[in-house]
Amino acid sequence: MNPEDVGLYADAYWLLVLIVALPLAGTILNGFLLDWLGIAMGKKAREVLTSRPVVYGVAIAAVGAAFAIAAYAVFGSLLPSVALVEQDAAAHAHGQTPAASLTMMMWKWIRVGGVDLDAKLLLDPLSAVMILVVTGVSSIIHIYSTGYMAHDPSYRRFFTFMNLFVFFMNILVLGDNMAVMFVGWEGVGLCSYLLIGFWYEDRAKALAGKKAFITNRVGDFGFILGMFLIGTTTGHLDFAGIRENLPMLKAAPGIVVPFVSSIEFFGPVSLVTLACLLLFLGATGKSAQIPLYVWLPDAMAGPTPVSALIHAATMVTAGVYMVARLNFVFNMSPPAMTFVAVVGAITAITAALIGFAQNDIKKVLAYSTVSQLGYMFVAVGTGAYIAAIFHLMTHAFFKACLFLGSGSVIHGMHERQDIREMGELRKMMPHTHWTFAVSVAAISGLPGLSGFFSKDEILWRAFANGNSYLPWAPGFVYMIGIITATMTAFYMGRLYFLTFWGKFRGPAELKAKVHESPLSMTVPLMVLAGLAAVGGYIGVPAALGGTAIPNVFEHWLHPVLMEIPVREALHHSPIEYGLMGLSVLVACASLGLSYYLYGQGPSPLVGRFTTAIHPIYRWVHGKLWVDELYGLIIYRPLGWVAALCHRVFDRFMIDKLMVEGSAWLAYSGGWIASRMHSGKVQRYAGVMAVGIVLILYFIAAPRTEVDVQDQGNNTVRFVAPYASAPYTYAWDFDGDSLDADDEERWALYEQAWTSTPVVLHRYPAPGVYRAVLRVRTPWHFERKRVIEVRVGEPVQEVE
Amino acid sequence: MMEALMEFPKSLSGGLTLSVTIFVIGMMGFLLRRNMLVSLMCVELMMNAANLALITYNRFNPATDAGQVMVIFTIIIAAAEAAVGLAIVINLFKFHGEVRTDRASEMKG
Repeated sequence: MNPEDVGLYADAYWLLVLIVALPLAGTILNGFLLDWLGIAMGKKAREVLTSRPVVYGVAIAAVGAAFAIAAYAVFGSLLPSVALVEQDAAAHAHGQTPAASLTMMMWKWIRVGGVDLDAKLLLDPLSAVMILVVTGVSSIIHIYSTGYMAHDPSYRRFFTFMNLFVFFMNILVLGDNMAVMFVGWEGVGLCSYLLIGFWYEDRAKALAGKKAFITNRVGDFGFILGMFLIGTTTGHLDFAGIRENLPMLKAAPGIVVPFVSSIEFFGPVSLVTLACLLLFLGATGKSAQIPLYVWLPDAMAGPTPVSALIHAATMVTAGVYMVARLNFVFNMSPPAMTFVAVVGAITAITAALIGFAQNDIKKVLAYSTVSQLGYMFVAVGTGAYIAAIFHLMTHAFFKACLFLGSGSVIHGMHERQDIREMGELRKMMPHTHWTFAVSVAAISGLPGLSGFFSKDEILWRAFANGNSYLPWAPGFVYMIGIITATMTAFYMGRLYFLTFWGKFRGPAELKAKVHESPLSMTVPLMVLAGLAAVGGYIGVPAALGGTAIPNVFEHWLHPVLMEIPVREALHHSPIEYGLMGLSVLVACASLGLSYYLYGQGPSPLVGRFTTAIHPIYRWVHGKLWVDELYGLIIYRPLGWVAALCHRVFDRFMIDKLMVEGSAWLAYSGGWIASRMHSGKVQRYAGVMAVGIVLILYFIAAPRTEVDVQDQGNNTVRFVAPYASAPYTYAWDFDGDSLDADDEERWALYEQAWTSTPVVLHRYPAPGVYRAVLRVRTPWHFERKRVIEVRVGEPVQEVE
Repeated sequence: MMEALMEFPKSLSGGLTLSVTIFVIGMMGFLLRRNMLVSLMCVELMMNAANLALITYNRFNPATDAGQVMVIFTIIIAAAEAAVGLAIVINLFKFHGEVRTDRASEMKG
């Protein structure tokens, strides 16, 4: 096969445009085009064109077609390209296989000075995985949404925003440079905001959207700065360009950060580390890590499909994707990577802890998401990028399934979300139950399911990390990781058993009304549960699969992601099996414990335990009071500053000085001018007479500006002024008339009363002379001017 | 007497000096007197001073009769102006019962 046939090495693999453009087309059609068309065609047509079947059809078709095209691009073009590149590498013995990629150069975007940015899309193995996950899960969730939003009057707005989200997410994933990626990055943030606040009549929900948006803004600030830092140092923002110019990044001098650098341990921060930390700040915003995770639990205010799609499966993984994309940059900075891993681990355990004491079914899942994202950052922080992307993918499956399952439960429970009111639902909602069960098992890490493979790989790599900046970090991160795994299994078990087992604890009249969701909701659940169960088999670790089950996933991503290998001593070590056994053990034990405590409804033991540790329980139940802490140290001081600015800038400078000041200026100016309008004709005439006299004087008075040009050879050319009225001129070139008295004066004038304005005079020797010019008008006004003439100085070059 | 008039002005500067003198008298009268009838007469005076300047120039540059033609025009316009002006004065008198210019200040700001 030729490289040209599959689009390799060409800049015009235009199917990529379709993947991006189709969801946008869906947005445009559903957002306004169909409505306009309907308005043009009449009332009946408008009703049809904005009816549910049409809107659902357009939205699902747009995303589904994008998925189909993405699948074709990946399996039809990228796969053969990878094979070609591998053959080529084998033939030429290049060593590491280079990454095959298909690109689409859409247009030249910014070409200013040294900036050279294209609107370009890139499909390589990494973005291939992402685009398949994004469009695939999106398609499933779009189908589910038709059932979930069946009674919502704003279905058009919902599907418009959902398609818009997929559009931006595709841009984020397919962007060939950080700027294009950033467009998607901001776009998904916007859609997240729009969809969290989807039911904006509810003030709390509108505020949750705002919180998400503003928190992300803090992170975006880090992303932008990191991007600029890399861009200005390497001169490139496209990933290939950055990769080629890594030495420049390495050679850049360290930056003295105030306060931090004065601590001997840190010293001047190397530029790579700073860039990585700034980018990681961006990732903490988008991917809900400490310290910016606070928005994600609140984001559950949005419709459940939104929680599943944006706040579990796709958008929140953008930070992980970004770090993995820039793996070659992060690899250069062990301190930054260690920081990422430690922050990820602490986030994982903190979120899991909070998840223990939440009673809202979606809140538990939200904290679980934060916790799992923490795992992904542990993975990228230890250089296990493939494991991170692997966990990202499996997490997308089981967490989407869990969220959609919770949506189904909420739907069946008539908009109730409190798990204390549930129970026994496995009988009323059998399909929701078994899909939920599969996903809980997967996230808990029961062997054979997808979560087991991905999470265990992360834990193993965290333990065996050989590149840590701090010697204690791998052990610390692993410890936290395994504790978190235990906790995850427990609180997921708690959620599951409280929801589906025991006796129904809600109001009795509700029990009869609880119903299984329609097929449009359960079929997506089944598909996702299936993926959650078997999705892990494409990435079975070598320690388990051996040669029988090849690790396809690793082989696929290997060319793009520069993995940090495990410690030499731990290669093929039996410790790996030990750790695996340990995590299976703790998962099973936790699930067993949760069944014991919650299998028949909350056991009395739970109540006794929470009363015994009441202060701690309140602290955990109150989400560790982080929101309150932020309110105290950030929100309130900001409010004071804002109030001060309001008073100084808004009230005083703008309202008083600018608005009222300009009004006062106009008023008083008008008052002064109105005093002149006395209504007395003679006063007007007097002013006019004075004006006319002044004008006449300026017209009649002679002008005396002289242009002196040194011609060389001691000759000077004088160009006297001339006006429309004929002037006459008298010249005294050597200025001797200045000292003479009145009678002698005229004799000393070399030239008296000529009418030619241009005269030449040759001086005897170079030097500085004073010349006198008298100008006379026809009305015998006369004016004298003394000119300083420098003779013999070099003539200035005139361009 | 008649001969003296026929010979006037004897020089350019003499004629212009007389013209300027009359013009300034008219202007000062217009600016300083409050009676509107007098003001009108002062306007006539200024106009005639300009006429005098025109015919003076014409006499000392007799290539064309442009100056004299101009004077005829001016006299005609002055007649029209006098008619309009006197009509305004009569209206002013009907309105205010007097013709002092400083009383007619309804247009003040």
